[in-house]
Order: sequence, then C-alpha cells, then structure tokens
Amino acid sequence: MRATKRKFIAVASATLVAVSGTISLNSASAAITPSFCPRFTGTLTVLSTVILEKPDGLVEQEIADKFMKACPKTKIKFIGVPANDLVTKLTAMAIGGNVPDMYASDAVNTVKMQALGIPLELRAALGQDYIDGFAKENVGEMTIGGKIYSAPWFSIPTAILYRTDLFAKAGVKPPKTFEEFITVCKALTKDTDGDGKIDQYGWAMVGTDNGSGQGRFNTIARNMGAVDVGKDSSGKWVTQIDSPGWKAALKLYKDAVDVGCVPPGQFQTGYPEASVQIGKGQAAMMITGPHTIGVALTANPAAKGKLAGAPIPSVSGVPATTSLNQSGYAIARKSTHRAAAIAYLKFLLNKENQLRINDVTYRIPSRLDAQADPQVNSEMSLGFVKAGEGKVFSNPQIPWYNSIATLSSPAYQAAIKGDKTIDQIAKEQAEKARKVIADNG
Amino acid sequence: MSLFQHAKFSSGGNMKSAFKKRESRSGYFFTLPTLLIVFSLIIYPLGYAIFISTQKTNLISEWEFVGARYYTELLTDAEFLNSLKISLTFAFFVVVGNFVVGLLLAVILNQNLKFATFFKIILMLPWLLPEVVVALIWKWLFNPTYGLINYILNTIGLIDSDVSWFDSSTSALSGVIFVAIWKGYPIVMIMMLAGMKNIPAERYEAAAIDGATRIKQFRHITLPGLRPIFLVTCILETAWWFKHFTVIWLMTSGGPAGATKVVSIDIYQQAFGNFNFGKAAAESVIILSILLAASYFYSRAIRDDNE
Repeated sequence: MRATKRKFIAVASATLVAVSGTISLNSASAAITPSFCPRFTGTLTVLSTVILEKPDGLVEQEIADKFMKACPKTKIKFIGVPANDLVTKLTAMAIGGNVPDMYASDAVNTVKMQALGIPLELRAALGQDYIDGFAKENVGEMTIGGKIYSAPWFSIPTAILYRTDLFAKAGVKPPKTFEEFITVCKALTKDTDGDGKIDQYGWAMVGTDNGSGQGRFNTIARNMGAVDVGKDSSGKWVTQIDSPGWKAALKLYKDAVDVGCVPPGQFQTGYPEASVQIGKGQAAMMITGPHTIGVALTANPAAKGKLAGAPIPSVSGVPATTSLNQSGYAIARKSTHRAAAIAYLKFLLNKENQLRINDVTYRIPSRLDAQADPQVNSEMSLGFVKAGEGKVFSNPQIPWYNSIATLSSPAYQAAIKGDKTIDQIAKEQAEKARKVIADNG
Repeated sequence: MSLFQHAKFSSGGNMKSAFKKRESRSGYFFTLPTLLIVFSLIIYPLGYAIFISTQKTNLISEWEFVGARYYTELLTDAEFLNSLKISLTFAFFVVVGNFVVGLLLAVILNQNLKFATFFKIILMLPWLLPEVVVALIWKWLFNPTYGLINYILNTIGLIDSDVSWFDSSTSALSGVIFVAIWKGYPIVMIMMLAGMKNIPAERYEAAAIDGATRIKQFRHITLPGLRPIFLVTCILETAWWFKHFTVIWLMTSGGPAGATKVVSIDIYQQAFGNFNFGKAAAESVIILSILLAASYFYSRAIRDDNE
C-alpha cells in the first residue's frame, strides 16, 4: 500500500513537472514567436523578378530577412528571374513539374498559369475579408471567372517619367498630344557642353525586342486608339494591328528616331539602360512606370526631386489610357508548404512592408490601407498615381496573348529601320495576328 | 556411326551450341549498358521530339494530334525559310572565318617561335570564356554611347558621331559573325596545329631539297596533310554554328526586325514566346534533317578521301 502510494506520488509529481515544463516552454516560445509565423520548419522557395532589380531587390530581401528573423524556423530562398523571362521560366518549370512554392505573377502569366492548372485559388486560401483589403482594380486583373489566382503586390501605371530640371531649362512642359511629344523631344535634344556632340536626348526609347519594349509600345498604341487584340461587338476576337492608330504608333517611333531625339542604339536600349539615361540626364523623358524613379536615383542620387510623372498623350476622341503593369505572387497549388506561403504573403503585404517598398522603389501598393497613406502620393510619383486613377486597360485574359504581344517589337524595329513602309509592316503583322486568332480564338 | 559415337558427337554439338548461346547472351549483356545509354540519351529524346512535332500541345494538359501540319506550314512559311537562310549565312561565314583565322594562327604557331606556348595560351582564351561572357563583353564594346570601340574611333578621328553598330541588318549580322569567329577560331587553330605536327618533317625536307618555296610546301604538303582534320572540323563546326543561339540572342535577340533571327532563335520563340511546342519541335526536326544530310555528305567526302 505504501509502495503504491509512493509510486502514485512519483508519477503525479513527474506529470506535474512535465506539464509545468511544457507550459513554461510554450509560454516562452509564444513570447518570442509572433502569431503570424507558420508552424512549418523548412525552406520556402520563391521565384521573384524584383529580387534581381536594384534597389527593389534589396528591399524584397530586407522584408524576407525580417520575416526569417521573426520566424526562424522558416527560411525563404529566392530564385531570381528577369521580368522579361518570367513566363518562359515559369512555363519551363511547370513542364518540368518543379514550380516553386510561390512565384511572381503578373496579369498575363496569371492567365497562362491558370490554364495549366498551376496556381492555388486565393479567395478561399486568404479569406474574403483579406481579399476586400485589396484595391478592386488590382485584384480584378488577377481574377479569372470569379476566382483569384495571384495576390497583387504593387502596380506601376505607365506614364511619362520626365526630368523636371531639364524640362525647365528647355522651357517646355510635358506633351499633351503626340505632335507635341515630338516637338518637346526635339527641344530637349541638346549639346549641353558645347563640344559639338549631342549629349542630352529627348526620349529614352525602349526599343529592344522584348516585353519591356512591347508593353510600352502597346500602351502608346492604345492611346492612339488601337487595340492589339480584343473582342468585337459579336464577341469574336479581332485585331486592330493594321488600323490607323497602330500605324500612327509605329510612325511616332520612326519620327522620333528620324528627328534624332532618341539616343543612338535604340535597339539595344532596354529598360535598365533607358532608366540609367533618365537618371543621369542623358535623356529627359521615358515612357515607364514609377519604379523607374528608384532605378534612376540609384544611378544618380542627385536626381532626387528632379523627376515627375505625367499622363501619356492620347489622340482626340480617345481617353488617356494606362496599364497597371502590376505584379504579385501566386502560390503553387501543389505546394506542400501552403500555410507557410500564405503566412509569408500576408507578411509581405502588410502595411509597413507595402510602404517600405513604395518608399524606396515608388511602386504603388495594392492594399487599400497602404494606398491611403500620404507617402504614396509623393511629388515624384503623384503623376503615376493619377494616371492609374484614370482609364486603365487590361490585357485580354487569353493564354495565347503573348503570341500577339510579341508582334509589336519586330514591327517598331522595322518601322525605325525603314526598309519597309509602315503600311506593309502593319499588314504583315496583322496577318500573323489573324492566324494566331484563327488557331486559338 | 555407332550409337556411342553419335551420342558423343551430339553432346559435343550441344556443348558448342550452348557455348555459342552463352556467348551471344553475354554479348547482349555487355552491350546492354551502351544500348540503354544510347536509347535514353539519344533515341528517346529524338523520338519524343518527333512525337511532339505531330501534336498541338502545351506539354502539360493539351495534346491534339495534328499530323504533319506543322511541317507543311513551315516549309511554306517565308519567315521560317528566311530564318534558315540567315542561319546558313551565319554558319557559312563563321566556319570560313574560323578556318581562315585558325589556320593562319596555326601556321604562325607552328614556326617554332619563342614563347610559342605563351601565345598559344593567350590565343586560346576566347575559347575558354563562356559564351555569355563573350556576348556581354562585345555588346558593351559595341555600345554606341559608352562602348570602347566608338570611343577609340572618336578619339583617333575616324568617326565624328556615335555609330549604332547593330541598327542596320548588315552591320548587326556582320557584328554577330565577327564575335562568333572571335569565340570559335581557337578550336580550329588547335586542331590544325595538331594536324600539322603529324605531318612528317621528311616531306618538307625533301621538298626543300627539290627547291619548293614555303608557299609551295604549304600548298602541296601542309594543306593535303590537313585534309582529314579539315573535314572532321568542318562537320563539327558546321553543326555547332548552324544551331548557335547564345551569342546572337544576347547581343541582338534576333533583331533588328529579325535581321539576325537564326533558326534556333525562331525555335526558342515558338516554344517559349508563343508556347507552340509542336511547331518548335517540327522546326528542330527539320534542322536535324539538314544537319544529318550535311554530315552524310561530309562523311562521304572523308571516306572518298581515305579510299
């Protein structure tokens, strides 16, 4: 009896010690681990385009480091890919069956990936209350058939980024028509040091044969009244690539090069080169988004306060139009680290981190609480915010859109070269577009 | 024949056939690893590419049999035929350039010069550099605003304004050909140098005694002596440069307006720009057929040469 009693006391005290130990351990860990941290121990793989850019990538890494510090059991590993190669890389990964847990996603590849059955539906995963915290126009581009396949992080509405100091020196204002655009472009092209050589150009044209060039041309063509592909009144897919508006956009490119207001080597001038030209004052304006402000300031910090945005001109009868060019993150449906991915996504999109990326890169946050902050409407990015509040176009949600989008860059290069007439070029590209539509539409 | 003898004979025959059987089985056994490697690395991928070329597919969820549609489309597609023409032009000039530069340098290095090993190492450097590095270095050198070439030409007064080297079709194609030659000549140089070392010195001595000049010796001894190596190098070089991608893609992306769009860039854009993997595979099969035909003619030439 005594032995049994002793045994009982021993077991009871051992249990008490164990329970109190667990409680104290739990309370200790609760004290150091924030509630947003996932229970997951391991590495979350994130395919990012921003991580390769400067200064943008430094901020993304900083946010990930903050998350890893708060949740030490979860590691974030980035796979960098240039924005222009994102669709290619993702498609190759999808075919190989090795899509990372999270991947950068814009409006075009959201459609493409959804057609391949890759992303997780986010309305259910994040909850309706959380979805309601996004600006409607942002989340709209990531929604297909009522389902949300990417969480928008930021948008970069296309407008004219210009050097206020160079405009003031030349005594010109941002152009309101395309005729003015060429006049202003010429007025800004100068030999500033008097050595007989032009060292400042009007327009840092992105003339490369890639997505950076295609997106910018497409926005100009929209403001000329031409849509590369869209539905007609009967619901059929049609192209306006051989319309007067599209030809006028080609002519604008050709005229600008012919009058000499574009820096030489426009076919090799991609987004990074053009951004540096603006930063260093080698060019005075550029068709781009507010994110270029951060890149330009990295190239030349002295340009701070000398950059501003203005809407792209539009032809009479066509309202000034822009595209949001937004980017965000999708979570792979087959990811085994779904909860951790959701936790990181919500951390990335919290107000503090949204304002941090906006502060350094001028990208416009997608969450309503961050958008309401006065910081977002800073003097340098205000023009872009205003452009984004105007008429916004979204590319059609068709998996084959890329086949149409890629037709523009050989066209503007051919127009600038001048071997063929603009009519010929437009006719040839329109025929190709119609074939793509016939094959897929 | 007695029964015993017959039994003995037949048992010997059985033994022989059993041995033969075992021998042939072990033959299969020993060749099996090679067969497996050949099948998994060559036959299966080739067969799969041919299979894909008959499908309209995204390689994940969409598979629709289209037969030979892509082949017929391609063989009447002016843009594809133009890409083939550009590939042929590019490959022809690069192979010729590599041979001219490689052979010239091999002849110089074969002269028992002082510091020949040092020069060999220096001249081999372009071949050792990755293609990506080569393309980016030359892209920077050719840049119209901050490139070294324009700077030097400006400084010595040969040009008075910045030249955009890749803005015209001819200069862009010439530019990528030049860079490809710069990258490719060292391997030809080394092959030719190795070939020259194999030509017996007695032939040159005999020719010298007969009064042959250096040029005559080069024409009648060196060049014929290099013929087998020349043909093998030709096959390798043609196949290599005909399907070249990296340098051109990084320098011009096939531009301006398709002026340097070789067929490998077209294949890449079909597959990863338009996601038309079937058409891209059909283009690859056509290229394979062209290169197989070229290899056949080259190997016929080598065989005739040996005979």
